[in-house]
Formats: sequence, structure tokens, C-alpha cells
Amino acid sequence: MARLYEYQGKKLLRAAGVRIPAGAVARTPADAGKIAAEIGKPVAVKAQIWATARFKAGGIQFAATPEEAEAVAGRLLGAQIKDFGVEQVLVEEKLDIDHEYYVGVIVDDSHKVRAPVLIFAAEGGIDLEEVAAKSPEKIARLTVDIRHGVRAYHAYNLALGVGLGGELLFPISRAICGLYEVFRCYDARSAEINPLVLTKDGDLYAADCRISMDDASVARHPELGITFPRESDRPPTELERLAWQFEEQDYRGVSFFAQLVSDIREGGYIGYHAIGGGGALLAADTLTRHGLKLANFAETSGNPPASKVYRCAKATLSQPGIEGYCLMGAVIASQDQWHHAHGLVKAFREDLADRPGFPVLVLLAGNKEEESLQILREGLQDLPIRLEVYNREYIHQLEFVAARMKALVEEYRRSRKANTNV
Amino acid sequence: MYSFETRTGSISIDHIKCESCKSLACVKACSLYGAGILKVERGKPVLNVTAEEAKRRDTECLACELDCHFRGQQAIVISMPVAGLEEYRRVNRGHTAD
Repeated sequence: MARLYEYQGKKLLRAAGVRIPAGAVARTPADAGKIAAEIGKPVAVKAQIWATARFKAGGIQFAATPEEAEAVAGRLLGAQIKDFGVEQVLVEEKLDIDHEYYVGVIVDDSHKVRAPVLIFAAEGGIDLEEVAAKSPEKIARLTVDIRHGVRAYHAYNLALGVGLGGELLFPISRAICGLYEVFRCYDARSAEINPLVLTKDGDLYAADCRISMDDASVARHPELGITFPRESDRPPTELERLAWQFEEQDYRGVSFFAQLVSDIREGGYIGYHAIGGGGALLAADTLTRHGLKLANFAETSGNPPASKVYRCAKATLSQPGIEGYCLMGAVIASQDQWHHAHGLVKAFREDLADRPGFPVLVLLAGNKEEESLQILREGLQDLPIRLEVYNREYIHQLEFVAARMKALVEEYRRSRKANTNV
Repeated sequence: MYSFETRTGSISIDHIKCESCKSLACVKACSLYGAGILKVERGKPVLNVTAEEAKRRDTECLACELDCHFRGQQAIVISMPVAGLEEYRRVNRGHTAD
């Protein structure tokens, strides 16, 4: 899921009628000072990063004057907070908080629900799980009928359900309905306002928000400027950005590439490429249980062309420091596997001719299986690599296959060490 | 050099090398694994569709290059670039394990 930054989410919320604090984004300390001067009140300077608990991590700081705001922004911009580089800060009026609430929408995809679920809590500013554990009576839920959406009375019922009432009902209803509108219009997977702040003046503001888009819907919203639609707890690596190009531009089949380790400093890492999501995870678990470390995680399925498999393999092989390549097709795939075979052979022939002894293990099963294995054997016969190829008989013997991969990597490491010592 | 574009790359065939080819394995491979867009004309593989049609129909099966390598004259080079990848590898000091 692609995430929006707080300032992007707030812009959408404001357009949907939800009140948000006055403020703007700054990319330089001087701009932060100017924004603070325009606001004319004490401000909060908030690092725009995809991380939770920013306040505890020092990513949200307060400033009483424009000069202070400029100084705070100077400290935050360029800093690393929770592995994220801070490139922009949101400068907005500091709220005089009387109480904090929570409102969120998620997609509940369990087969009994399969609908958005609205959640409102009388306590906000902390994890919803914490509220649920301590005071479940302070949480109200509503499964939304997407044919009718969320009406004001739904929102009233949620607020009444946690014991609220009176003049608060209208602004709370506006916030809940506005959040749902953003959720629906922007094809979000989840959206939340936390905290929804009641100020001592009696006004209600969305003080912070988190909105995650459905990756498949990003193309419908170019106005959001999302360039890498995938949720992660860190920014994409350069290699992931390169691999994203062929995921994004080629609709044939599916490919996925994630770099699990950005800087390999010890031995035992392999490039991991799999076919089919479930089997991919199962096989990855088996490999790690055998002591292998996965430098990356690539996946190609859905009958991709050989060119896509080739590019995915090239990306996997591009990560410096890997000591083996493992393709786990731990399923009998209903796709012609010779496209995988051709893609792999081309990538290996281009990249492994100068890596003598490099371990390569391929488990491939599915349509045209025997022909595919023959393509692999013939296509790689003259490469100086440690190659082992397995067929459908081994998809239920992953322990054995993982042990073989481990043995190949250890053998390779020993031989390289011996050569280095000579 | 005879060349044409595919959907996301390009294929080049060295027709001089093809002159001594007896197998024409590329055309057979294209028919078996791909969209069957190659034919033999005066002993050499050429498109049996327009270049524009080839770009649309080619499935990028990559088979002609491999079969030409093992059964033909190593006359075919397929380019399926990933923009920026070579530069990434150069900056990251090659791609060998430490």
C-alpha cells in the first residue's frame, strides 16, 4: 500500500470538509520561519516521514516564534529519523488540546465482512490497540454498506456509542463523514485521523492523519504524485526504484522486487527469486530456517513474459555481496515455465560467466516442465557455476532443497576462501 | 544488421552470420515459444509482419537468441534494458560477492 504524507492527507481531508490546523510544507528552514510568521502563533514543526511515534523520535517539535521555527526546521531537515531522511516539514499552528479522539476506516477483507469498517474511539493520540485492551467500551465500530456510504446519522451513532453527545456530535460527524469520503474517493486501504483534537476553544481538528492507498488504484490518481506505490517502513532503495520501472510499465504477468538488506557486510546472503506468493513465503521460511540469509525477495508469476523474468533476475543479481541465487517455484504453476527458463538462462549467461562456482539452484514445476528444465540444463551447461535443478518431485521436499542450497553456498564460500588464501 | 523493436526491447540479427546457418533454429524457436513472427527469406530470418506489428505481437520469449546460440551461428542479440541498472552496478563496484 502506498502511503501519503501527513500534509498530503490533510489536504484531501480539508477538501472533504474536515477542519485541519493552519499550516504549510517547508523544504528550507527559511520557509519554515516564513510560514510560522504567517500563522502568527506558536507552531508545531513536523517531519514528513512515513513513521509512527514521530514525537517520541524527535520528529515533532514545537516553536514559540518564527525564529525558533526556523531553527527547529534547520535541525529536522536533513536529519535521519527512524531510517527516513527528512526532506520536508509541516509547519502548522500548535493546538491547545482539551481532548483527543480517534477515527479510522480500514478494509476488512475477511470473507464474512469484505467491506470498509469505520472505527471511532473516545480516546485518541495513542495506539487503538492500547485503547481496545484497556477500555473496549470506548470504541465503536460500523461496517459500511458501500452502496449507501456513510451518512451523518451513522456518525452520530458511532459518537453516541462511546458516550458522547451534545454540541460535539455535529463536528465529529463532519470529521467521520469527511474521512470516509477521502477513503472512498481515493481508493484507500486504510485512513485514520489520530488524534482528532478537541481544543480548549471547543473546535475539532484533524491533528494528524495516515492514509494508505490501494497500490492498484495509484494509476487513477496521478494528482497525488505517488512514484513508488508500496507500503514500507523505509524509503525504497535505488535498486528497488530501478526494478519498479518494469513492474510499473509492463502489465504482462506479475513481478515484484524488494531489497531486504541494503548493505551486505557478512557472508551467507543469497538472491531469492520465487514463483507464486504462498509458495514463495513457505520456501523463504525454509531457506532461513537452514541458516541462509535472503538479501532480496523477487517474485514473478501470472504468466509473465521471459523478458520480465529476465529483468527480475538481473535486478536480483545486481545486489552486491550475494553468494548464491535460488529460484523457488514451490508450486505446480499453471503457466508455461519455459518463459521462466529462457529469462533465467539469458540473465545467468550475461551475469555469471565471470563468477566461477557461483551457486544456482532452480526448482521449477508446472506446464512444459520437462522442456523448461532441459532449456535450463542446456542453456547453462557451459557456465562455470554450481547448478542444481529440481522438478515437481521436490516441491514437497523443501527441507531437502534448502539444505542443498545451504551446502552449495558453504562450498562456494570455502572455495573462495581457499583461492584467496592461495 | 537486421533489427526490430519489441514491446520493451529490441532484437538484432547479424545476417552475415546467418549466411552459413543451416538450422534456422531461431525461426523454429519463434514458432514454438513465441508469436511466430519470423520467417525464412532467401535463407535468412526476417519478420513475417510489419515492424509495427512485430512490436505489438512479439511476446519477448527470448528463445531465438538462445537457440541461435546453441543451434545456429550466434547471430542474434536481444536487448531488454533496465534503465539505470548498468550505472547502478558500476557505482556499486561491480556485482561480485565480497
